[in-house]
Amino acid sequence: MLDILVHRVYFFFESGIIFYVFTINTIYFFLTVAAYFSLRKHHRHFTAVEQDALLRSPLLPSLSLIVPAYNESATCRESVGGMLRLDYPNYEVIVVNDGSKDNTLQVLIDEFHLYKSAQVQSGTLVTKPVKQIYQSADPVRLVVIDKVNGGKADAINVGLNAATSTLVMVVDSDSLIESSGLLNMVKAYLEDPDRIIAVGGTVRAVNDCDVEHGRVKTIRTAKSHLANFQSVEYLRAFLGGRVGFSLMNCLLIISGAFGLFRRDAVLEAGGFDHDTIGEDMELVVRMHRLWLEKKKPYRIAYVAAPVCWTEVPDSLKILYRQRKRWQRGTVESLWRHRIMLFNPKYGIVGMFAFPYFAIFEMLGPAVEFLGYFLTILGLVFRIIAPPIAILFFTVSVMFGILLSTSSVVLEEFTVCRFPNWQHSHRLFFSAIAENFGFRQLLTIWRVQGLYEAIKGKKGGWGAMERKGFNVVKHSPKNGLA
Amino acid sequence: MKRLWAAHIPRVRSQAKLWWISFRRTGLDRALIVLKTFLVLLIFFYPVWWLHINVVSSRVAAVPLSLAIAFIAVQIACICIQLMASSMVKKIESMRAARSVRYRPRIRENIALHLTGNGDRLGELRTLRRRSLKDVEVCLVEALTAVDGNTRRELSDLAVQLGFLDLWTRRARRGSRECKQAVECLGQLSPGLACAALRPLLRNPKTAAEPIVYRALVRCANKKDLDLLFRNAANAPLALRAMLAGELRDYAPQLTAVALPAILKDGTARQIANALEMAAAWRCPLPLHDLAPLMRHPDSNVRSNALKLSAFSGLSQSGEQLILLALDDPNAGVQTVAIELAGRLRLTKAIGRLVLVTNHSDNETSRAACMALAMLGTTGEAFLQSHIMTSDAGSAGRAAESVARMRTARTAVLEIA
Repeated sequence: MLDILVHRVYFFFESGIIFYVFTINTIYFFLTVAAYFSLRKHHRHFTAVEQDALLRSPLLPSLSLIVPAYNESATCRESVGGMLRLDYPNYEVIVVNDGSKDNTLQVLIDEFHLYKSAQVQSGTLVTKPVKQIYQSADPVRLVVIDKVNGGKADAINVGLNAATSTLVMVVDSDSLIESSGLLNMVKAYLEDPDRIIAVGGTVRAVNDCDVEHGRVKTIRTAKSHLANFQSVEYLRAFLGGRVGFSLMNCLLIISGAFGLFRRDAVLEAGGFDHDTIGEDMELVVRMHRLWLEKKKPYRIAYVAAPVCWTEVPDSLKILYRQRKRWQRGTVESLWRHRIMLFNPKYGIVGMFAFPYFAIFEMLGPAVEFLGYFLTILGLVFRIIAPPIAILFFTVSVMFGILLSTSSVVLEEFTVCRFPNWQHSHRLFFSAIAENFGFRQLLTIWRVQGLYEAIKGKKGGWGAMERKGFNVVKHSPKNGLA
Repeated sequence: MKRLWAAHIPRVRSQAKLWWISFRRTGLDRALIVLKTFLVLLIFFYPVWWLHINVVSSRVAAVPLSLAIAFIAVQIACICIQLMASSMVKKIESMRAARSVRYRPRIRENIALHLTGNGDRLGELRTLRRRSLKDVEVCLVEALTAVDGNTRRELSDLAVQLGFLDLWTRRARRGSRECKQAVECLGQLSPGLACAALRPLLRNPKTAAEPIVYRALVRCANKKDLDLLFRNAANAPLALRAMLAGELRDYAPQLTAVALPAILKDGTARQIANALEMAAAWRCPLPLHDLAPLMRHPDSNVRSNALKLSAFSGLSQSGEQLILLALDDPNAGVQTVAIELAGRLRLTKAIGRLVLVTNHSDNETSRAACMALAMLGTTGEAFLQSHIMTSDAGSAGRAAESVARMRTARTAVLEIA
C-alpha cells in the first residue's frame, strides 16, 4: 500500500517537473522564433547616409555616459579611451570611481590629464559623499568623480546627479561600445521620444577578440570553452529572450552594462536602488510598475544593433560568484515588486512577463535541480523505468540544445557578426556541449543563489578578476606586433 | 432606437479609425509576427505527433517513450537543418565575395574608361551586368558618391542606360529593406533624375526610407520642394526631423522667409513647436521679427522654442522684455530657457529676478540661475559672493561652483588670447 502511494507521489512530482520544463522551453522557443521575425523586420544596420544625417543633426539630444568603476585599473584606460571616441556629436563621459582600492583613479588622472574641478556635488538623489570631481585638460568631455565607496547603484546615482543631459547611458567600465552604438540606441529614442523611457542594447563577449584604440577590431570566438558557452548564453538571452519580450513591451531587464535611460524618467522613478544587487533589473521593473500605476503611455525597448563588448569570466570561480549574484538580484527585484504577480492592473507585464520571471527564471533552477535529483533517485530505487528518465532527459537537455543552436542561427541570419564558418561551427559546438555539464552546473549555482537570497544575504560590487583586453599594438618595424 | 444609435455612429467610427491607425503603426506588425511564430511552432510540433502516431508507436508500446523518441528525432533533424543552412549561407557568401573580387576591378575599369570616353564600354558593362548585377550596382553607386557635377550627370546617364533607374524605382516601391537601399541609390543620381524619381515617393513613402527620400530631395534644392519638405518635417516624428535639421540649415534664410511664417500663421501647436525647434537648432541669425505673440501661446513647447529662437533673431527691446517675462513663466522648462538666455545675452535687467530664482526649490533651476548670475559680470558675482556667506550649504555650493567655473572659463580665454 505504502509502495503504491510512494509511486503515485513520485509520478505526480516527476510529471509536474517534466511539464514545467517543457513549458519553459516552449515559451523560450516561442520567444526565439518571434525574435527571428522581429529582427528580420526591424533590425537594420545604419546606412552611411543615415549615419551622416544624424551626426550632422543639431536636434540630437545630449547624452551622458555614466561609467561606474571599482577596481578597474586593468581595463579602464582602454575602455574610457574608447568611450571618448564614439560617433556622437553631443555627449560627455562621467566616470564614477566608487572608492576603488587599486589605482583606478591614478590611472585615469595620468591617462586623461585630469585636474581638480570647481564643480560640486548636486542633484536630488541621496548618495554617499563625493570626495573630488576631476575634469580633463584634454579637449574631451570627461568628468571623473571620486567618491566614498557605496556600491554600483550609488555610483550610478552620483553620475545621474552630475549629468545634465536629456539621456543617460549606463555602461560598465570594463566594456567597449561600438562606435555607432550611441547613435543606434538614441535612434530608438528618436522614433518615439514621448513614450520611450529606456532602451537596452546587446552585450557580447569580447574574450580573445582583437582590441585597438578602445574598439573591437577583429571579432572571433574565444579559445576557452567556458567563454564560448557564455557567448551562446548571451546570444540566447539577448537575441532570443529580450527581443521577444520587447516585442510585447514587457522587457523586465536592461543590462546594467549597457542601457540608455531618459534622465527625467530615472529621477522620477527615484534612481537606482542601493539595497539590491540586481539594481538594473529592479529599476526597470520599478519603472514598469510606476508608469502602469500612473497610467502613462511608455515603452521600454530593446535594440539588437548596438553592441557593447564585455569580458566574460574565464574561470569557474568568478563565474560561480557572478551567477549567484545575478540569481540573488533577480529574486530581490521580483520579491520587492511581488504585488505585480498575476495582477491584471499591470497588463501584460503583470500577467505574462512577471510570472514568467518568477516561475521560470527565479524558481526554474530549483525545479530543474529537483527534476535531476528525483530522476536519479527514481533510477537508483527502481521507482521509474529508464524510459521515463529518457523522457525527462529529452525534454530538458535536447530542447535546451535546440534553443541554443537556434540562437546561434538567429545570430547568423540576422545580426551576423562572426566573419567565417569556423567561428559559427565553434559556436554550434558550444551550443550543443553546454547542455552536458555546464548548464547543470549553472543550475546548481543558481539554486545556491536562490538559497542565499532567501536567507537575505547582501552584497556590494561583484569582484571580477580582469585579464584585460586583447590589445593589438602597432610595431613600427613589423606592423602588427 | 435607430435614431439613438445614429448619434453615436460617427463617434464610434472615428474612434475605430483612430484605433486602426495606431494598430497599423505598431500592433499589426506585432500581431503578424505572433501569428507567424505560432505557425512555426505548429510546423515544429506536428511532425512530432505524426512520427509518434505513424512510426514510433507501432514499435514502442509505451506512449511517453514513443513521444520522447519522436521528439528527439524532430529535434535532431531541426539541429541538422540549422547547421546545414548556416554552413550553406556562409558558403554562398564566400562564393559571392570571391566573384566580387574577380569582377569588381573589371567593372571599375570599364566605368572609368566609359567616363573618359575611351571607346564604347556600354556593351561590356551590359555583359557584366548580366553576369553580376550586384557588383555592377555597387561599383556604380560607389562611383556616383565619389563624383559631382558633369561626371555625376554622365554616370547617372550610364545608370539609366544600364537599366538601374528602372530597377531602383521598382525596388523603392517594395519592402522596407530593399526600398531603403534603392532610395539611397536614387538619391545619388544627378539632381534632375533623382528629383523626378523621388518626388512620387513623397506622397506615399515607406517609413524606413522616408528620411532618405527627404534628405535626397533637400540636396536637390528645389525651392518649391524645400518649402513643402519643411512643412512636412514640422509634422513628422523627431527621428525624421533630426535627420533633416542639419540638411535644412543650409537653406535657413530661404525657409525663414516663406515656409516658417506660413507655419506660424496657420499651423497646429505641434507643428509650430517643431518648426521653431528646428529653426532654433540651426543656431544662425534669422530675419524673424515678431515672436512676442508666440510667448502668449498656451502650449509651453511653443513658448520655450520661441524663446530659444529669439536669441538668434536679433534681440530688440521687445525681445529682452520677452525673456524677462519668461523668467516668471509657470512652466519650469520655459523658465530654465529664459534663465540660460538671460545669462548668455548678459541681460543685466534680469538680475533682480535671477536673484529670486537662486532660492528655487528645484536644484537644476537654482543652479542655472547661479550660472546666469555669474555670467552677468561683477554685479552678479557680487551677489553670488554674498550668497555663499549667507545661504544654506546646497545653495552656497552652487553659487561657489558658478563663480569658480566662470573664473576658470575667463582664465582659459585669457590664456588662449
